[in-house]
Amino acid sequence: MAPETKSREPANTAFKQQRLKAWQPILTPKTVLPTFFIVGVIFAPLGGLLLWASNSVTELAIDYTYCDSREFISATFPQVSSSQPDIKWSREVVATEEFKYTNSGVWRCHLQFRVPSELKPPLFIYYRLTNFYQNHRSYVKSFNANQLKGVAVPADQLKTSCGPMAVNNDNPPKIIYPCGLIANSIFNDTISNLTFQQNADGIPTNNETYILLSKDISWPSDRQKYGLTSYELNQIVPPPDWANAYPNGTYTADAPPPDLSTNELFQVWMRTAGLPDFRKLYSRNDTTALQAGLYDVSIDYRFPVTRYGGTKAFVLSTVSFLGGKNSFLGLAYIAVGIACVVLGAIFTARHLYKPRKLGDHTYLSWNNTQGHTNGN
Amino acid sequence: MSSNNDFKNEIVESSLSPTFVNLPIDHSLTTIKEHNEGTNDNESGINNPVNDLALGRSLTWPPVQPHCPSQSTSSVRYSTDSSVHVSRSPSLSQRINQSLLQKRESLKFAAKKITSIVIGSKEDIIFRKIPVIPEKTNPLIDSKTNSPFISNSITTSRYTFFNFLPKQLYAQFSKIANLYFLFVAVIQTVPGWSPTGQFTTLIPLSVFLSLAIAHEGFDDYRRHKQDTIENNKECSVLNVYRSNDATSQRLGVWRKTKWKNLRVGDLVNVKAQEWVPADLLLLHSKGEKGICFVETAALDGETNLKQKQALKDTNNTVVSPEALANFQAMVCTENPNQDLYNFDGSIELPDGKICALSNDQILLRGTILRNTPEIYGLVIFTGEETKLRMNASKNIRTKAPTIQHLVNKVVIIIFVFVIFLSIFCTTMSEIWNKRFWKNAWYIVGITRPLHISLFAFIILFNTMIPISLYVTMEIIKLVQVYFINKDINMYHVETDTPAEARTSTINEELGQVSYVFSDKTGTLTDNIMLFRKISVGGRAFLHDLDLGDIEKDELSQMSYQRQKSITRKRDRFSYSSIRRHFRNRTLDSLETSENIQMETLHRRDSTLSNGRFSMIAPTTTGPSPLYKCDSISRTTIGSITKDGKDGDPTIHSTMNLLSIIQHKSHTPFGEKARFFLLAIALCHTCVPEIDPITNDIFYQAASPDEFALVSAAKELGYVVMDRSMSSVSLLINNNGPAGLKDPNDATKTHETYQILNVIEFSSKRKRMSVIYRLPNGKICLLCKGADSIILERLINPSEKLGKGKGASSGMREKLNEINLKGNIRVNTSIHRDIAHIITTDNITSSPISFNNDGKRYSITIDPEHSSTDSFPIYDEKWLYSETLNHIQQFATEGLRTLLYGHRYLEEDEYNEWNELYQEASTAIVDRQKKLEQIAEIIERDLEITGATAIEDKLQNGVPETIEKLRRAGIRIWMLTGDKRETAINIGYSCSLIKNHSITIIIDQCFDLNLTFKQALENINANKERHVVAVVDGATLMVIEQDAVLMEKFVELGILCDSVICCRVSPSQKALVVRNIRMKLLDTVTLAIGDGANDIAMIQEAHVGIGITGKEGLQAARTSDYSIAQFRFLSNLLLVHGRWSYIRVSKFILGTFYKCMCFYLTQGVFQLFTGFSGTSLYEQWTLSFYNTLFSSLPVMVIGMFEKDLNYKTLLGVPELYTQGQRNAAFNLKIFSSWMTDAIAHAIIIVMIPFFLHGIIYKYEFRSFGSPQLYELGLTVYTCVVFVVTFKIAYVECHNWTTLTHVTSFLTLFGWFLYQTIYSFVYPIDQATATYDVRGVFQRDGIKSAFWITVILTTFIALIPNILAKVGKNVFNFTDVDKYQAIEKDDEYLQRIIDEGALDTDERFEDNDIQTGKLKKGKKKLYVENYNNTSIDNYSKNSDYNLDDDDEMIIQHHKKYVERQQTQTSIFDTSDVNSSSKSLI
Repeated sequence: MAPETKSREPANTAFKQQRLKAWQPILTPKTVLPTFFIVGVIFAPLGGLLLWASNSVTELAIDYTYCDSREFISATFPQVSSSQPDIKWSREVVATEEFKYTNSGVWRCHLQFRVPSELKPPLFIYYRLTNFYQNHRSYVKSFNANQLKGVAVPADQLKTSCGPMAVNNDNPPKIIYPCGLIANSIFNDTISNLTFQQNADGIPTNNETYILLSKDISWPSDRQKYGLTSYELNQIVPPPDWANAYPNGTYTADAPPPDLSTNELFQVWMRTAGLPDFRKLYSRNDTTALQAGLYDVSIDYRFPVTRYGGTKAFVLSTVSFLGGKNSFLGLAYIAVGIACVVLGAIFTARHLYKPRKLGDHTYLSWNNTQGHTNGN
Repeated sequence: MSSNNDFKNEIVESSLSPTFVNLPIDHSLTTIKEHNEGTNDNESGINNPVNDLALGRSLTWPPVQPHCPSQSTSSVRYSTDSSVHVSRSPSLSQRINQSLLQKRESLKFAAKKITSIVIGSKEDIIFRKIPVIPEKTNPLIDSKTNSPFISNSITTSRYTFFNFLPKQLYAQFSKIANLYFLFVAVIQTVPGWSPTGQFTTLIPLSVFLSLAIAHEGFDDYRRHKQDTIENNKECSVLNVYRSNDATSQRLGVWRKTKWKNLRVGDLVNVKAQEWVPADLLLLHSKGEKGICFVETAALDGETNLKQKQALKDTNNTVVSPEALANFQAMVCTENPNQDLYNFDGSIELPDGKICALSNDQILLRGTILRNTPEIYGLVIFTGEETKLRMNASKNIRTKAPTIQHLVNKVVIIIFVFVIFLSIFCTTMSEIWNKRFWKNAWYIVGITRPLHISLFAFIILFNTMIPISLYVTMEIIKLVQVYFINKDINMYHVETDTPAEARTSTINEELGQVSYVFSDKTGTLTDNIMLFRKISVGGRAFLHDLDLGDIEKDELSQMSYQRQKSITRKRDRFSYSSIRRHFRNRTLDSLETSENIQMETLHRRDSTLSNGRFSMIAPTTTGPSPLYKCDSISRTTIGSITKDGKDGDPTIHSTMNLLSIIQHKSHTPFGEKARFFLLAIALCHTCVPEIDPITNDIFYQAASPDEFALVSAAKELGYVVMDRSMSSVSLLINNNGPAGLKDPNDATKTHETYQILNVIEFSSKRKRMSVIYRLPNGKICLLCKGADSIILERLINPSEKLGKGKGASSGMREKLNEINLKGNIRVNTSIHRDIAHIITTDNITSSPISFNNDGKRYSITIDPEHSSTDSFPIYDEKWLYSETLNHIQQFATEGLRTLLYGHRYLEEDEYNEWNELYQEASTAIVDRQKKLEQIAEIIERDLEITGATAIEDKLQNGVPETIEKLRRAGIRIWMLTGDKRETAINIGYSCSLIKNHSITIIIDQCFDLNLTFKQALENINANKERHVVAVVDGATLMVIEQDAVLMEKFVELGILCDSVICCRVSPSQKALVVRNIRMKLLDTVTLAIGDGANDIAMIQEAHVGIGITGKEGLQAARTSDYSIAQFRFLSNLLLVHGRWSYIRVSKFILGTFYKCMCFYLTQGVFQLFTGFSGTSLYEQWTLSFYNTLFSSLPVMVIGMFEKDLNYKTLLGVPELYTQGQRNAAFNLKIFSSWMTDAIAHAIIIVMIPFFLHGIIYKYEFRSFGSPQLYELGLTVYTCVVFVVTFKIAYVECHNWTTLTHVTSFLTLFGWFLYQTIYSFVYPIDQATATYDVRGVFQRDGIKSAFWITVILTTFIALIPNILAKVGKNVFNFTDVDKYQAIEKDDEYLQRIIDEGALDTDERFEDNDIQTGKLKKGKKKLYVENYNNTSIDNYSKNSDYNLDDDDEMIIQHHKKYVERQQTQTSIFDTSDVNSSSKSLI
């Protein structure tokens, strides 16, 4: 009479009955030792490879915070890695009205260094800053992307993104272009091309110049973010710290606002570093090899770092397939690899000497503790 | 007028009585006054409301005055409201007034009666009065509210459209975590405050809350839809028209209407198979004698049909719609309440007769009419006031898992940590501001107030508390529930019932249970009652006609269990005992004549077809194997066997009894026996139904006991053929059951017994009586009930000759004495001793002399040689003591005993009593109480008719399950309504009490303080012993009242391995549970039961389990989980409970870990930003972490983790204790995970930073140092790798395909997301702090990136793995151990088998072991424990058993020492059994 009701019996499938095929490994010395050996065998040679790659990078870094302090940070040259690079210093005060942060005169630092062997292109010049917090929460977001793209963003919109560096104190206020803390504090030291003083044999050359260009130094994707501004000249003023670079601290037809789309140094600077110790690409040469010998470079010293306790350095480097110089990575790999092998060995010894008994259940807690199961 | 005044005075008088002062009386007075005025001042009645009513609404309105004291108001209200006046006739109104006067007379009488009966009635009792006015068009008025009665529409939904959102929001934000996130979300939306975007908390929070709210909303929507369907169902309601001819007769027409339009006072008809639309008063049934049947399954889950019967008066009057249209009456009912089983009310018929209404006349909403063509009914309660709804609305208690407390604690800890971290960072940023930033010329204009800085850090770190925790947990628990529901091992084939989880919130509690509170009947036992023994005339007989059948099933079942090989030895034991027993039985059956063969055949038939004690009418269901008796418990067989073994042949088959009746019917014994069988056949409330096709007789019984009794009577030749309200007709086969097969047998007689009164059973009375007029004209009271109750009411045998009213007091005293003595025996052997105590009087001599007669052995079934009476009745005292002996013995065997008594009543005595009875039975107030009082008058001075014993069959696998639970460290409390002996014996049979147990009996007869003190001392002295405490309901009542005693009792109960509470009421069950729950706050209690009486307990305990058993689904409905059999409890707890516990624990730990690990990287990063609050991650990437890039692995571990396999967990219950100790999730484990998280966070930040040149001086990217986003990308990737691998592989033991797939999906998803993001991220976003565009395209293909990620992942995880390995080697747990063991199935199996050995058997083995171990060492150990295969095994396996000899030996010594102490205790206790007793 009643319709045949469907059985409520659960289906006997592996999933429903929780019998899915599974691997249930137990982490014992015996089971993990192969893994450790494998990891060791892979990591250690990989580390060696990385170390080799790192060592193949030639790099010279000179801290010129105090210009004559003769402190170099590091210098690695493939042939004479142990020898100290031959660095000489000199400093002169040049009177220049150019872009500077201080009203005092600008230093020009002359650095002389010896390259012991020929360096193959590409060759990169970086500047390195320490203790400079580009990642500070107030600093890092202090720019307006639309303004950089060229849009004439009105002043009231800039205030949220550029904060105190949006408009000047004029009445009516003028828009700062480019606005924001980042743009305002752009690295404004000028690093010259390298001048070939002596060749490897110590014979003076006729001051050949090794040309380095600040081109292709920004990320290609970054370049799309910048454009020629569409502000009227009278709407805008340069950032306060740029004022010295412009007559009366204003943009004029003769001293127009910079074309940010082509100003790669600006683009590099705007790409804020994630950590307070960073270096940024300044210029490069992708074609010519740098011959061994003594070179001169002069740096116009404008960017103040001592005030906040920072340093700046000049870096000359080649690259490997891994990028720049980084022996830590290789060392870390080697260390991990060795550690794994050692652990594997210990486990093997342990297993051979004192293997773990398979579940001798007499050890079980309820057999050893008298208590919760009375009468057993 | 004078009569009116009289009436008034009467009422006033009564109202002076202290118990009867209530407001309604005043109402009635004023009303009556109005009446008076109406009749006197305005004879035409035009302005009189009552007359308006009468004239306007019904021409022949009988001026019914309510006989309940408080009703008048509503009729008056009704009339004032009515606005339609059809016609008015002065003569009619006169008539009405006249009859009003008459009515007042009768009302006066009624009121008098009521005042005299209602003593101690509650003051606030108000009655509902429903005038039956078929013609009414306006709704009746509820006197309580002065507005129309509420409509019949019901609302099960909890919300309306408008209050849904506010209510839900309130509910959601009352959760602390949600409130916290709301706070964070709010401060985040303040522009400029948040380092991580403005809406990254608000949006996920809204999503998760919306999910939760939508879920609730969907549920409620479904409820709404169901309500709508239900409210729009159709039913037929009576419409009254006037015929157009001159007679203008009223015609009744049934018209369809929707349920929601039904109103109180409507007359409806319900046809067969239709649902009853509201609570109805049954006026007329087309069934025989006004009887109808309803199925109440939806209401209380009971599947048997219940019989209802219309009052004779109404049934005979309103036979058609026309009659109904002209029917008028006044119905007075109790107020709406939730009592499904009682109803008080009365109806005043047009002729002035007042009839009482009881539950027999009430059809409740939610029931279905069956087996009855049609009924007419009056709607009395509608909508929310129906008993169905009154019952439904109260169950609101929500259970929260215990683990929740810990989670809350953890949330608070982390919250404190977040605050601390924020304060630290704020302080640091202040220091930086003062010392560094002022010199940093490139950062100008940063003037952030302190509080904003603090808020910024709180926002930055807030997500350390996982926002998705609750929602995700809900999801994984649903999956766990799915697996519980789908477990084929918990599927009961016979009843087609899988396990069913009704809640998902407390799955993990199942894995932490420490106390199980179990009901007995229907939970431990099958609730199949088998008539087993009978004691009559001082002899006991065994009714074992069905044992043959049962044995077969038993054998097959055992072989099944053997296949499962869980408890091998045990089964072997019982198997042999059954065989032994069976041999005896076979011999017996050889002796008996072929009658038995035929009977057995017949019985088999009837068992098959009548297997269900409570049968839905066969037409609807047909024979069902559902409740087929499939096995007899081992207890009974065991005890029977023991009897036989002891050479005690007192137990004969009931076949013998039959032949005695047949052949020696005129001996005193024969008379007694026959009368007893008659009593069994008569004293019950079962209704026989005859299947028209097969002519089989089915019984509708209110309880399984009654079904067993009536069926037994049938088997013994007393077949109840028909039963009506007034008579029972029997078919008596004088030749015994053999006659049944032959309808033409001349020895068959039909007898009809007239029922005079039925005093029904109630749990309070514990007895029922029926008064019959026997065919010979005598009036006889038959009473059956619990032995203690009946004993009190027996006539003292010694005084029988001089019996008079109340003459039995002497005997009663003696009985009390005896009972007291019985109670005094407080030891394990109580069952053996009580019988002796009872016979310590002068009675004792009789049985001894009888024994010396040797006649006991001479019972032969030989009709030819019946000249001597082999069954003499010595004297009343002897009979009395023997019967008591038997009852005691039956109880000892774990049988339920019932004692029958009877008394012949004199005509005068009966009439006098009957008057009182009738009066009481029409009472409206406290009828039940009054009936009890009146029954007390007649149920006395009974003579013993005989006693019956019914076997309550244990469910399959109960002892094994209990043993397992015990091994799992779970203490089991049995709470039962049975008496102590029965409870103790069931306790023995289901291994709650062991042979070596110390049993403490707590009895109020003794100084309870002393009892507790001694018991505690004793327990402390014998720590290893198995201790059982037994307490009864009466004692519990005493304990309840004294907080100190309760404290001690709980203390004792906690120490005991098992506690048996007998004779407890449902509320006491709940009380016991509550007390344990309150005392042990951290332990989880579980209550399991199957009946309505367990609901309180089920709701009280942390976890409530319902057995979907025969007592209906009521308990299962209110439970959290329901299973079909008690034995599934072990699967549910040991396997699913444990898995759920492990899963939830690991899930929670994993969730907190992943959040802590990830968001702490932000904290570490602050060191490199000068505590400025810069976020390392882009805001949306950041907020997707919880949902997209870390949720799958934790969910997989929460759904599919198995730290141990099904078989291991079930076979080694000791593993369960992990949950009880909170060993998988506690603050220690939590802190170790947090340490991991912190370490990982530091490693994950530092390694890439190292590589980027913080410590070491240069970084490796040709384009210069990485931008913030690039840096974050590397770190983020490392986090995703480390977290995924740690959770999915290091912490998860069970690596399935799903583990791999989800891990892959997580990693793949992360890279896919990055790829897409790096292409679509907008360039010109005004706040594009993070340089997303194009980054991953570039970095993703760089080897440096990958090398960094791989290195970081390994450095983070290797110490973690090492720690795991170290733990496995030096500090392993049981779980670690068994993970290794279960790799070897054979070894595992052996351990399981070994563990499953009954403790008793281990005790037996003990001596041998001790002896051997004194000589040999581990070799013997190996032999003993591992038999043969372990040697082979140890050779084959990598693992060497020969190591760590010392530990083995040490362990074993301990074991042996323990055993020895125990054995010594036993030795003494065996010698002197009384030493077992504590008191």
